[in-house]
Amino acid sequence: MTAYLLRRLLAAIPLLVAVSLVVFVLTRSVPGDPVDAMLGEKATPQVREEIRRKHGLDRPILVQYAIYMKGLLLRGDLGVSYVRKNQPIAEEIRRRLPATIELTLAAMILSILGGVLFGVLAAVKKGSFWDYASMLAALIGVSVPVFWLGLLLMLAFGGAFASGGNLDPSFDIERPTGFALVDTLVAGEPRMFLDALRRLVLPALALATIPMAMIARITRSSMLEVLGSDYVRTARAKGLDSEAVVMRHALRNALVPIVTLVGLEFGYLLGGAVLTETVFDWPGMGTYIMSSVSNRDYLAIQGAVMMLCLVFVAVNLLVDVIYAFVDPRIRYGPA
Amino acid sequence: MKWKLGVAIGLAILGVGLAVLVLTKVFSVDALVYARGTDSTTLDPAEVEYGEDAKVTENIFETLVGFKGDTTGIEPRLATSWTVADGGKKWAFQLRKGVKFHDGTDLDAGDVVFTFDRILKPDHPHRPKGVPYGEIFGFIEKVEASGDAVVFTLKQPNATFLQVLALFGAAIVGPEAVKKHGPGFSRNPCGTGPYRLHRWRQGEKLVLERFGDYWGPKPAISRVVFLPVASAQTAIEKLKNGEVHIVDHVTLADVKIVESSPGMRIESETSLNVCYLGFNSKKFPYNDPNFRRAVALAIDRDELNQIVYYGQGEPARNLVPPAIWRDIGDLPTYEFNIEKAKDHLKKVDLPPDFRPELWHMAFARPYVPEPDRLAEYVRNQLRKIGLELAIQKFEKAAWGEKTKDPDHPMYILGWSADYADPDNFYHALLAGGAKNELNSSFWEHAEFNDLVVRAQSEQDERKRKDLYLRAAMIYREEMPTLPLVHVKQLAACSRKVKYDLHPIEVRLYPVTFQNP
Repeated sequence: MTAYLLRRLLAAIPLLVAVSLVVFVLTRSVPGDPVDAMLGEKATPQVREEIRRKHGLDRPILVQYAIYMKGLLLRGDLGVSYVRKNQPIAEEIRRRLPATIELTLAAMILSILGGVLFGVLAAVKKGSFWDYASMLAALIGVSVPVFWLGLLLMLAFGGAFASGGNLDPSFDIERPTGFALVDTLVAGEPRMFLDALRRLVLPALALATIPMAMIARITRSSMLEVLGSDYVRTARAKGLDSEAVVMRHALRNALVPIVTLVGLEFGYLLGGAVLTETVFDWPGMGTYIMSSVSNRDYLAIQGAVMMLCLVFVAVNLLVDVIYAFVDPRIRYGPA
Repeated sequence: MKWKLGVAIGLAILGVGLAVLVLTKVFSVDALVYARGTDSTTLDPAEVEYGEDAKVTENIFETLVGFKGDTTGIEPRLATSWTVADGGKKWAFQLRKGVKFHDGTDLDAGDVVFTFDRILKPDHPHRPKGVPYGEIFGFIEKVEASGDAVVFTLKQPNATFLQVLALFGAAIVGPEAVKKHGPGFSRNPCGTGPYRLHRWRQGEKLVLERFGDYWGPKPAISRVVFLPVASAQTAIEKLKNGEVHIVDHVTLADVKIVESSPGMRIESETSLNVCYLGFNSKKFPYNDPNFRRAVALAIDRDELNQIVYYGQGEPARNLVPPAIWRDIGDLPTYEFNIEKAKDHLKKVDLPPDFRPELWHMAFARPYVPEPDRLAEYVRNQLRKIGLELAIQKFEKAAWGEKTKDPDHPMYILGWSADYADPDNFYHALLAGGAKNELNSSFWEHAEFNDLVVRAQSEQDERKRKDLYLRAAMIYREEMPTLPLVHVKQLAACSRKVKYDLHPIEVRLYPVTFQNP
């Protein structure tokens, strides 16, 4: 297992380098000048040139890339934001990443709980009202754009829950972990904890809808396949009650494709978080990427996208490890 | 049946949980929450360019002179009095005693010298990378301490000097903090103002707290939270839900909604801005006066104000807003006459199927909250005189380049005053010909140039007004740009707070909570 993990980690390095190169070239191919965003409309041409030189923006793009990678690999330096003056990007990412992970995890938990529940229900009650209702809901869930759903949820329930943000702005506490739920507990403020939880409900629901629907569909088909297999028939023939057959025998075996999907869905959730965060003013990586893109803050976009990519690679690795626990037939050994 | 029971219990727990969450909703009331479109980029006054940054620094820092009440008139602030000598070239300011910086150090004349040297001297060791307003102070030759006073020597007399000293970029900074934090001063500001920085989680919120050693009346509210909320609709929802108290980027379309909602109100105030339509004076047909006149005559500013600005603007007669021009003289309204416009257009030798182009920004600015709507209005009006406009819009980062592009056509642009003087419009936007980067029309007019340059240093008020009136006549005749509207500034407020807008500054220290 250790050798397998090492191999996978090594394989991730060229992937990250490739992502960094693609993002580097793409951000710089978009029309627009970060110097405008940096200095605004009033700077003189001399100052513009000076800043361009200082940031190496006058050099060929591959030279710029080499300088960037050198800083990153030798010093772990993601650079300083062009627009948020004197703000190290690594610091900003460290502060924002927990908010995105918190939202993504909440959406993940919601989508797994809801998706597996609806999927199992639809499979067990195949052809019934529950089956059709679950699958219709799943179809709608898959089809609804996340930002639109977010806006609708906010308009309908924003008054009852909260219209954006991950903590009431007037609350003033230290944020050691960056996870609002954890920090409010650490601060010993149950009122703020409930506030953080309340603010999580709508964005997590909006973000969870599509993966929940997909998990429900996969669970249904996977469960139907397993429920039709011989050993399930044998289990029933031996007189096991229905719940034991479904939950203990069928569901565990149906889980492998679901775990695969959940791993992939995590990537979707990270991407979807960009839109959801924008709608709900969630102070995470999504809003950071959006504002960095509109300001052509090259290094900020670069750092943020690479960090999300790193998280995605790590989650996929984790999913592969989980396989081994879910399905005893899967064992990782030397290639 | 066990699973049905399980599901029922699960749903019940979920329902109760959600109900608890909703019912325990409590908002803290000891802080004023101010929602705005975006976060600050810097808190170092020397680095500030945009109003969004100034909104915060105006509450942390102070200038030698400030604006009196809710006017743009000048009154003492960190300076208590001043004298003028040498034909307007030497100004001595007596400093207020007992003023402390947020780090506990006392204000003295050396701190004022440090502040201005940092802005004026390119080789100053503590100068930030960019000083956007550096050029505005370019007429100051040197600043020296003389006991409790500070003496400014100007290269030439400048009638706008006091207005420029009231600008946020002229705020006095704490030298010890600047030296201690280096470039990090932009995130660790230290001024003498009524509020000081408490916490800044960039992109999330910026919190100011009352400064206990403030020399003047202390703010009634102990903390102010600046909350970036990109979407104005979301911000209004937050206001409705009681999560914020002031929304400063309310859209014009939302004004009626806010006014009809209980618990909310709209505050409005004249604003020193202008939105204008410009022409590239170096490119055909935009360089043809007849073409420009035709376009001018095709635009109905009253209608434009109603359709594009929801009636929240003031149809423009001049590039300079009326609040600044008020004492100078009356100018007639621009004529709207489609038939006359067609006649002028006939005199232009346009190729068959010629389509004029219009470029505009794709993002909102205070003077053009809905750029698409404005561009569409112009297109409709020009259609009436037989011109089919081709419109192109550009995102923020690309727009700066486009306005400097020597090949650009007609364009929509605007300006918000840095200081309340016609100089900040006529000289800033139109003097100096193509060398002036803000003169996007590349317009050059020797007489106009001469008048506004003379007006800048003219000390006699009456003569100065006369110079501006003559410049205004040339501007209206030549039409390098067509002023369209001066937009009022608006804020949606909770009825729980008493807040008055100021034409230039954002002042949160006088805000108080009240019973609605």
